[in-house]
Amino acid sequence: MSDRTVIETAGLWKRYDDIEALRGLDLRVPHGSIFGFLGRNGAGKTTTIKVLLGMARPTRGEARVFGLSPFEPHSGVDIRGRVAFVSDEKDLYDYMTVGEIIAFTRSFYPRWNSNLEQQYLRKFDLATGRAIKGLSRGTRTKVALLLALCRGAELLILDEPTSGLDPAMAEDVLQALVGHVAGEESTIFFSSHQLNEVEQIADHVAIIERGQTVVSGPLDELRAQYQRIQLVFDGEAPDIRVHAPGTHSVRRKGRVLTILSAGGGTAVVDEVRGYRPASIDVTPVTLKDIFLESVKTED
Amino acid sequence: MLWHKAWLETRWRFISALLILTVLAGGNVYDYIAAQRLLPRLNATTTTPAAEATGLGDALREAIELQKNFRGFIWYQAFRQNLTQMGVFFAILLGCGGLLSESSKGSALFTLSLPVTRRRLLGARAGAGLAQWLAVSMIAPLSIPILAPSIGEHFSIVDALAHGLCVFFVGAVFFSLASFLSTLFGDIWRPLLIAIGIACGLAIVSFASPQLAIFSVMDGESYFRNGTLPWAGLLTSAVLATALLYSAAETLERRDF
Amino acid sequence: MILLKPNPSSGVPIYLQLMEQVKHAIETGALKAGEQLPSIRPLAEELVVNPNTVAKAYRELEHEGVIELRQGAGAFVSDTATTKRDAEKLKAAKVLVAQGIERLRARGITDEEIRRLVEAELAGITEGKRRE
Repeated sequence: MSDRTVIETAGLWKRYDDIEALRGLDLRVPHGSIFGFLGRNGAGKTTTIKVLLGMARPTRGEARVFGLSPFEPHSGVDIRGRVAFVSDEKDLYDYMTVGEIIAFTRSFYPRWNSNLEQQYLRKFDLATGRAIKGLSRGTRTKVALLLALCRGAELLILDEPTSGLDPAMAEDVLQALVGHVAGEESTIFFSSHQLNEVEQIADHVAIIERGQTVVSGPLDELRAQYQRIQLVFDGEAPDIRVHAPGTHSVRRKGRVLTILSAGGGTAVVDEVRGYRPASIDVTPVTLKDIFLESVKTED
Repeated sequence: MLWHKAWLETRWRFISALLILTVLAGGNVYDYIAAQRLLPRLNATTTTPAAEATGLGDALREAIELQKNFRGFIWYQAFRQNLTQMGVFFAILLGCGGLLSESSKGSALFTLSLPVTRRRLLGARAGAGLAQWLAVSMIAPLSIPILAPSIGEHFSIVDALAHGLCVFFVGAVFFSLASFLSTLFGDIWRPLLIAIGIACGLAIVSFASPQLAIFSVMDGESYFRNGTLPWAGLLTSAVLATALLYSAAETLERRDF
Repeated sequence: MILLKPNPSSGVPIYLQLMEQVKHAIETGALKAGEQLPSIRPLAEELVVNPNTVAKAYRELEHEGVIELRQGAGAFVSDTATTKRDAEKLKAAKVLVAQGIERLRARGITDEEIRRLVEAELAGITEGKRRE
């Protein structure tokens, strides 16, 4: 992974009529990374992707892919010639067959790899004669992925690549993605609700909430930063304030007090020892914990 | 392969247009047989006082006179009625659709992610569509010279093609109108109905003021009456169609998906 | 040599899990000195993990002297004696751990509690339950 950024946004705003979908989004996706883009429904993930691909124009702020602007006609075409996009719905032309849409897509990408095409047709068990109209969601996803992986793209932008897929197919998809990054010197930017999958293959993540980035960085570093400290008391847990720096949240339920800390675990433990809990446990935090904490509304 | 995609998207409309207009025009040839028997019985006393008052009476009398021979009959029925009226409808139909309507089917995002400009997307769609409209407007009239001999009449191929050209140019304006409306609305109904509405409005207007008689360009009236193609009308149509397509391209460029 | 699929949600970074697996394989003799490890790409594909993660695990293992990365040839278990010494140490440690676990179980402590005690102890902050 180099220091080059493949995707970069700065203070990105996007307003659709009355709705502010993006409110000052900052994003940096390093070259060669597998970047997980997380957020609740409606947080702005799909809007971000649309802006990056030149499908929607930003209201304010900057967005660059390969250092180029997606909304100038020429650089937009340049970018899209080096990018592969798979949408959330995986909609394709239902008046074509699998073979026809492959031929159609291939005509736009001079770096198309026919060997990979054959490989994926076999691996995904796709028959070229089948009409796209009758395909199941899983099969459509595989076709869409094949179209994305064979074109020699430097950047894959995937919106929920495994949604609606059974675990076996989802694993096939993840495997294809992992293989692609290893072999092709490319970057993958994908949004997903499947946090365990993101933890499995992503090396960087960003969490967005209401159009803004709330968490961003290398996944290992993020996980190492956060710790969950659980205190059990003999009686009702006291309603305390934790002053140690890095304390993210304190939750009280019955006899249990749970503290989420970003980088300040030992300081927290030192502070709460004074309250004489019956036990203190420090447990590692999963991406799901970080996600749920980050997207809580600040009420 | 964008043209191929456009073809796949509109092929059934194209085939319907071609078949229906060809059958209508060809059918008019055979209508002449019945007309021949009927028309001589119609004369000046068949109009009403109201019709006389509005001047419609003169129009009716002229219509009857014209259609007493094959050439006039064909001009009146095939070119003035069927190919103009149904022609406008099919030109509009062929012009509808495009990127926005793909939106409702979802594949718009796939198309927009291709390394082509939106201008090129529209250009391919419009190009394929106009090629189809050209084929329809030139082929349908040819059924007349081909079938006329079977009832012992004659119609020149050059005349058929000349009329076809008029149908094409004016139809192209409506095609482009539908294309432009299709960049404003994503569903298929609004562009279709609005364009038809505008066509009807124009029909009414041209009734009132003959200078704006766009449809007499379409039916090639000047060619029928004195052998000259309506060059001014054809040129205006070409300019209008181009302007509408240009507007469509600009609208599409600014659109957020 | 078969590496098990790492658990992404265990809280332990995947690269650490991989490193542990390699070291364990060396201890138990599944991987011998001088033997070649799978290349990064096929291993990443097989385990369905990020190739950068595999690369990181290999780099750290090289840094610790456990393996050698030879330019163009691949990753090989190093010949160094430290691995053997570590293996001896770990064998002894394993016995201690097994004994400790047996003793705790004999007292009626469940495996889950044992695991938590160990983790908390490692994090350095357990206080015993003040129940008798």
